[in-house]
Formats: sequence, C-alpha cells, structure tokens
Amino acid sequence: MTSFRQLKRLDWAVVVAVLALMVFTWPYMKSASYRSARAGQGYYTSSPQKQIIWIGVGIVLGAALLVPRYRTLAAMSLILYLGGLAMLGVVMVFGRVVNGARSWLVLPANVRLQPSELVKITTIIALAWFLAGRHRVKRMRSASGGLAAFGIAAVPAAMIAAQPDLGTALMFVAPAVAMVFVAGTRIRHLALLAAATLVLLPLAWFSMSREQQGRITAWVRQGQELTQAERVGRFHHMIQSRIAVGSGQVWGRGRGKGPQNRLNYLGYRNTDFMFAVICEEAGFVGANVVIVLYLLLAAAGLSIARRCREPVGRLIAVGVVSLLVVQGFINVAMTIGLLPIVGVTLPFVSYGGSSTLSSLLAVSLLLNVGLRRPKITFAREELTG
Amino acid sequence: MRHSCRVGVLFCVIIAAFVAVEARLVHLQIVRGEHYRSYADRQRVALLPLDVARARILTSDGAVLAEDRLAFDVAVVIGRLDPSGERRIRDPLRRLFYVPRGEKLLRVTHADFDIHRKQGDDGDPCLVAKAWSKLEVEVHGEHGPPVVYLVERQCDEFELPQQLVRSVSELAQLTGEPRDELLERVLRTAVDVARLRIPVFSPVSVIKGVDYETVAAVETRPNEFRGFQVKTRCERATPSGVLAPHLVGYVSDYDPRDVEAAVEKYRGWPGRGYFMTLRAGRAGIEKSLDDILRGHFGMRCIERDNMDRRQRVLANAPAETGRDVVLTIDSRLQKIVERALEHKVGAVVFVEVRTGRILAIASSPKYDPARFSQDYGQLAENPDRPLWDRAVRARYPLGSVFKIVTALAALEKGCVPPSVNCTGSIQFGGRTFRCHRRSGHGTVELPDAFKYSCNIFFYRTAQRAGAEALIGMAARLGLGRKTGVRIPREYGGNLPLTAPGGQLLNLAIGQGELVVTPLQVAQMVATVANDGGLMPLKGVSELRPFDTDSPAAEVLPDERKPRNLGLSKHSLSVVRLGLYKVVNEYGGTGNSAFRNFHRPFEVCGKTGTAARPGDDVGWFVGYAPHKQPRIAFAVAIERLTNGQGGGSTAAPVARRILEAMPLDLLGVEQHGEDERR
Repeated sequence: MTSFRQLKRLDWAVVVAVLALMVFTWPYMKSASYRSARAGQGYYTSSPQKQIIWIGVGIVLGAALLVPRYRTLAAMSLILYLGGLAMLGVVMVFGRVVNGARSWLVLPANVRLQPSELVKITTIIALAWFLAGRHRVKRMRSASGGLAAFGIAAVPAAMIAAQPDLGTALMFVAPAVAMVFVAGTRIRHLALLAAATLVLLPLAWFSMSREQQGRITAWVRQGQELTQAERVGRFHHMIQSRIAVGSGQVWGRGRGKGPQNRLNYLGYRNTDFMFAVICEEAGFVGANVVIVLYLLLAAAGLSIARRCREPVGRLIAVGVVSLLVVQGFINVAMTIGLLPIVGVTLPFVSYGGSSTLSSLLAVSLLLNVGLRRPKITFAREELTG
Repeated sequence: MRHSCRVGVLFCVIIAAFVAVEARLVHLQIVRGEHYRSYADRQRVALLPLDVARARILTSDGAVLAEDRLAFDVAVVIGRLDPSGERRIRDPLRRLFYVPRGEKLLRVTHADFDIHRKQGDDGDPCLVAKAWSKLEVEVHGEHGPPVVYLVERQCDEFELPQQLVRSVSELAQLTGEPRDELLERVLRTAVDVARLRIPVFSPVSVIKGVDYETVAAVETRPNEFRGFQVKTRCERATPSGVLAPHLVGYVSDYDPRDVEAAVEKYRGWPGRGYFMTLRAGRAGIEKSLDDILRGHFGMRCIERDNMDRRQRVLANAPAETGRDVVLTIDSRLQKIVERALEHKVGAVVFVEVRTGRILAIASSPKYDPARFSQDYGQLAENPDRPLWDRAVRARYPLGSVFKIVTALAALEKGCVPPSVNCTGSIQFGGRTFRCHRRSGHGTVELPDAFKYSCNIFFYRTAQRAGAEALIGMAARLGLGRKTGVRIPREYGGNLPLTAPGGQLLNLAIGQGELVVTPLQVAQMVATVANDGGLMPLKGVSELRPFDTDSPAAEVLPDERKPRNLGLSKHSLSVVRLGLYKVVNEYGGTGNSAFRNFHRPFEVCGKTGTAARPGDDVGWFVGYAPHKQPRIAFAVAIERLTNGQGGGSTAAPVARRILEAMPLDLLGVEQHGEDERR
C-alpha cells in the first residue's frame, strides 16, 4: 500500500514537467478555441473548460492508479489487453464516425471516448509483461521473441488502422521498438527489421489511400511553387501551419493576437495544430518552453527506467516515455514541416478528452514505477509481488 | 550496465530529434520569420476598391443626358463552385492546357470551349467540354536562355460537374440566355481568374443586367445556385432618352487592359485587389472629362478570415465622387435638331454668337450608348457610319459658303470689283470655270452676288485679292484648325498653304483641297455675326458638385482667349447684307426654303453645294436674328441626289429647326410673334 512516506519518493521532475506543460499551454488553447465568423460574431468554443474537466478526471484517476503496485497491474496484463481489444471491437460496430474514422464511443451523458487512446496503455503493459516474462533471456536471443512482441502491438494497431486512423495506429510502433530494444534484443535483429521495413515501404505506399499519398507528396513538394488551387487544396494545412509558425518570429504575436489562429486560417488548431498556435502567439521562446518541458519529461522518465532494477518496471517506463515523447515529436515535426501531416495530438497540449486522459494515466504508470524503486532486493520484490 | 546503456541510446535518439526540431524552428521563425509574417499579413489583408457612382452629364437647362443607375448581375465565384466536382475547374491552367514539365505557363492569350452532349461511362448522357487555347509558354532548354513560344493547345474532353450544369441550366431558363454559351462563359471566367490572379472567392459577373425575378431566385435558393451570387453594379443610363450621343459618348465596363494595369500597379501591396468594377469613358465628353466624372475610387483595406468574411477595417480611403458636368447644350434645341436630322446623313451645330457656347450639336445617324456593346457589330457595318461624329470629325469641302471668306478678304483689302458681268463661264489657264447658272447672272454687284451665289463674281474677286489674302482670312476665321472644344478626336480640317493658278479659282468657291468640319464653319459664321469677334467654342458650361443643383459651380479652365479679328464695319455690313438677301429676297438661293417663314425674327444665311467625288455635301449656314444676331448655325447634309443643292437639302433642315426654335434663345419676345400673326 502506498503511504505518504512513499509519496515523498514521487518523481517530482515528471510531475512538474507535465503540470507545467498543461498550465503553460492552456491559455493558448483558449485562444485557439476562438472561431471567427462574420465581423463581431466570433465566439469561443467550450473546449478549454471541457479540457479542465478532463485534466481533473485524469489526475484523479491517475492518482488512483498510483495505489496498486504496477506489478499487480502487469500481472493483470492479459485481461487488460483483451479488454482493450474488446473495446476496439465494440467501436468497430457501434462507433461514431468523426473526420472519416469510426473511432469514437459515445457514452451516456454525451461523454465521448476514443478507446484507441486507452488501448495504447494496456498494450504497453502487456508488452512489458511479455518481454520481461520468465523466459525473457532466451526469447531475446531468438528473432521470434521480438517478432512475437511486435505481434502483440500489431493486433490493436491493425484494428485502429482499420477504423481508419493510421496516425494513432502508427503510435504503437515507437513504444514497441523502444521496448524490444531495451529488453535486450540483438542489434542485428533490429537491423534486419529496419531493412525489411525499407524493402516493404513501396508496398506500404500502394496500400495507402489517395488522401494519405497526397499528404506525403505534399510534404515532399513543400517549398516548390504551387498553384492557387493547390494552395487552397491539399497543401492548405501544411502551408498555413508553416506560415503560423514562421510569423511568430522570436517573441510571437501575443496571446490571442495571431491572425493565423484568430482568422481560421489554421485548421484543427486546438487539437492537431496546437503547437502552431503556440509558435505563432508565443514565438520561438514559447515553442522552446514546450520543447524543453518535453525534454525534461523524457529525461526524468528515462532516468526512472534506468534506475529501476526490475525489467517490467523498466520496460513500462521506457514504453510510456517513448509513447509520449515520440507522439509529441511527430506532432511538432508535422506542424513545422519536418514530417508529412499525420493526425496525432500533442499530449498535454492539444485539446482532447481521451488523449489527455490516456496521457495522464500513462504518466501515472510511469510515476508508479518510480515510486516502487526498490532499495529492497530484487528477490524480495518479486516475492511480495 | 547493459540495460541502462540501451536506455542511454534511447535518450540520445530523443536528443537528436530535439536538435532537428530546434534547427527547423530557428530556420522558420528567426531566419525566415520576416518572410512568413509578411505572408500571413498578405493573406489576411484585402484591398477593396470602393466603386463610386459616376457623375452626371447635364444640359444647361437641367436635362440629364447620362447618369448612373443600379443594375444587377449574376456573378460566379470560382472558389465556391462544387469542389467535389471536376478538378480542372479549380486548377484550370496547367492541367487544362497540358503544360508539361519543363514548360512554364506565362499566360493564356485566348481560350475557347466547345460544349456538347455525350454518353457517359454509366450510360447516362452528360455534358462534356473541350478547350482550345493559345498560350505563351517559356521553355527551359538544357543550354542557353529560356525561349518563349506562343502555342496552340487542345485538351481532352472532360465531364462538367452535374451541380454546375444544373444551376447553369436554371439560370439559362430564367434569363433566356443559351445554356451552352453560359457554361462556356463560366469556364472562361475560371481561366481568367487563374491567369489574372483574381482571388478565387471574388465574384465575377457572367450575366449582366438580370431582372428582379432572377435576383430573387438566386438570392433565396443558394443551394441550387451554388457558386453563383447576385452582384450589384452601377450602370450608365440616359434618362432623357438618346440625346446627343456623339457628344456625350459612352462608358465601357471593365477593360482587360485596365485590369492588367491595375494588377501591375498594385503588385507588392498587401493583399490583392478586385478591380473588375472599374469603368472608363471611351468617347465624347465621357472620355474627355473622364477624370472629372469618374472621381476617385476609394480603397478599403480589410482584414478577412479564411472564408473571406470581413473582420475589421484596417484602413479606409473614402471614395471621392466626381463632379457633374453641365454642358452648354440646350436640351429643347438639341431635341429639335435631332428630330430635324432624322433619316438624313449629316451634322448640325448651333452656337451662341456672343459667348461661343454650343447650344446644339448633332450628327446623324445616331446610336444608343446604352446598347452600344450589343449593337456594336451592326453599328460598325452600317455604311452610314453612325458611330462617326460628323460634327467634329467630318471632312467636308465647304462649297459656296467659302464665298463669305472670299468676300471678306477682298473687302478688307479694298479690291472688290464694283461689278462683274456673269456670262456663265470664264476661261482660265486653258480651263473653263462655270457658274452654276449656265446662262449667267448678267451684271452682278457684291451684296447680290451672295444672293445668287454667283461663281463668276467670286472668281474675279479672288483673282484680284490673291490666294494669300483668301487663305489668310480663312485662317483668321478659324478654318483648318481645331476649335479646341473638349470633344475627343476633333478633326482640324485642311486649309491649303498656297493656291496657284486654277486652284485659286476653286478655292474662291470652296472647292479643291480645303476641307472643314461643321463645327469650324459654325464658329466662322458666329464670328461674322459677332462683328468679327471670334469666341472660342465651348461645350462644357460648368462643373457642379455631384448629384446636386447646387450653385457652387466651377468653370473649366480654358486657355483659349476671345480674339477680335479687327474686321471693318463696312466689310461686315456688306457681307451681312448679302447673307440677308440670300434668305429674304426673292431669287436668293435660300429663299425658297424659307418661303412663308412666320417667326418674329429674320434669318440670314448662305447655301453651299460642295462637290465631292460620288457624294456632294449640301450646306446651309447662317445666324439669327438679322439685326442683333444671337445664334449662328451650320447645317451639312450628305448624300445629295443629282440636281440637289444646299438650298434644297440643308436649308429646309435649318428652317425646320428655326421654326421650332425656343424664342428665349434668340432674345425675342414671345408676344412679337403673336402680334405678327
């Protein structure tokens, strides 16, 4: 059981990084929830208030998740994993379509949930349990062990990709690779995997929808001269986001004063393109606040992993950090044109109930691992677990 | 430790990603920040020219010859045409006209669409279009500078979006325009929008001047007319009917050259302007006083959101209306003149003697400026050339009217022969010069020489006065020189520099190289009637503040000064007696036309019949009243049949006008007429 004495061992760097991210960016989310209309009829959506509620729910649930030891959770991983798959199955049948993807569950009281966000966490726990299992050393020696781990991640990812929500599905790749890597797989197996991926890339291209192909060609062609039709067509988000980022310059236009944001030029700006709003209104300085806080989260999280002398905890920590940081990186990179546009949110910054909830729960899992950093010996820990 | 080592590797990967993001941010926000900030400002700021109603053109008695009126157009917004439809309409140029890689499309000089019905893939009939175009492309070779070619291209057929076809069909039904022509116009607009870089969300008119029913349909059912909207605009109207069209001139809707010039002029301004509403005067007073009538269009700098909705006004340069132009024309007289000229080919000018104000100026046949663009083909092909302003542009020989100049020249020189025996012809330089009366007039003296218009008398007079005196007098009276009235493209006429030998005799009776305009002749007659004081002709009386009858009038500056020619009283009285006899004595060449002319004033005049190859011109010039001349006039009629002269063609026209002439213009009391009756 957790006691207040143990609370002292909470990894405050992680807590501070996450809270600071949310506190610093919330005003910009408020600014980004403004919708322009005819002159004088612009209005704010209620998303910032809703976000506060979700953050509150996330903190409460996250705190509750600190109570059971993470090993207890890991022991239940099979149930959690199958439960996650079941939720995805329910969504496939009863889900609501938003932006072309059947990925939302509508609960009573009009609470909307995106199960794919929560499945990320259950999958990480399941992966950790599998990779740190009894025969782990033997498994890691052979390629089949790693492949089996990827299989565990691939099932929910495939179900999500079928919604179709390719962006979220891709988010399973980074934690899986990072966890397999840290679990001790042979480097040459990973290299082989990378080579195979490279060979299969053309196949992936042909299996993509035209919309997805368009996003990639748009990314490749950025910087070229475009026609008016292309500018308002498929290049629109990319160009507008780049303008928003660049026009922020060093200090930004000031909160609530960015024309790209206030005049609707930037689409999806309180979700996927939140970072562009921060760049425009808070400038290079504000953007760096966000990036440095992420870096702090990464450093503190990985330090938890490094200090954890027990494989399940270590792998959970690595999985959570890679999940959050890589998703953050992909979002930022697409906003500034380093990557093609993929529909993923920036954790703790973008508006989105399920995303916020799952990110906070993931952090709670990370803190849980940090809390149980045992001075106690490995054997005893295992015995008590 | 092996595991912590691998975690460290992971951290290094994260640091690498961080460095990449940081580098990109520095590039976008610090290195290129200025560029993107100006880009953001360019796209959120739009310049809107504020169109302004064009000022009116009035007559001196207050009739409105031209004013602006509100009209409705149906406009297409290319950016709002069904976006799920045919992509080619949204991205017209490169794809539509097959501009391959390595070629840069500079401009489309011409685009034509052929629209026809075809069986679609699913068996249903659909409309397809095919485009022909002339393009200017720049080809980059591997070596050397790029080369510019003008090429003709033709594209594959492409299916037209059904939504577009539906709305256009309905519009065609409402307005009665042919559907395919309308579709073609929409497609061509799409090309124009792309090539002139007009914002895709700006409306461009495709049907002009629609009725209220169409306006109501388009406004109330936006879903059925997606991409179409009603646009209001100012249109030139002639509330007093078609009056003095040649003088007033016409206004054209936007001229592509103007738009291109405006686009060029405002390149580099923040935002983009919409300049399709500019209008310009193209002829007559509308052209010569375009700057005054047009005023200055204002410019509004607005902030707009991504849907082109205005958010706030950033800067405002209000439009300045022009000033009403009040002409010297008297609408009553102008109407009378135009009625008298109906079904004739010719020109009439009436001038106020003391001031040089033009009271009426007409050229026949005339045209309707409001229907100018529709009727243009027909007008241009008409052999009578209705567009041609004969009053200021005709090249008429003057005929016997020039005898006034001959007589004045000789009188001023004091070398008029006391009397000449007219035998019907004289010999000079081996040629025979005839009088118009074969049997001759017998012995003729000066005032009566006018009355009979005896050629022989004026031959002799010219021989004694000499060519220099004749030409000098003609020049002093303003012949062969532009009057300088503010009507564009006035013709200056042609006055020969010398007249050796037989040419002198020809000149004496107004034949030969001399050509003049009716306007010049009216000025000459007015000068004679004004005791030798040449008053520069005026067409514009004053400028008034827009759309008011305010007395705060302003006079156009005029460099021309009145001149006194210094003609002696004697010569003037002799000539004027001659002109009196022409009309008022039995046997005068103008007498028969003015028989039973019962008005309280007497008319003086001179007839003329000027020979031109194939088409003689009949003249009647004069002034009234006889004692105190108030108005002078010149009437020229073309297309004389055999045996007709100025006395039988131009003089009756003048009589018809003078019979209906408002007496206040002549300074004659009304009751005088009643008493005489």
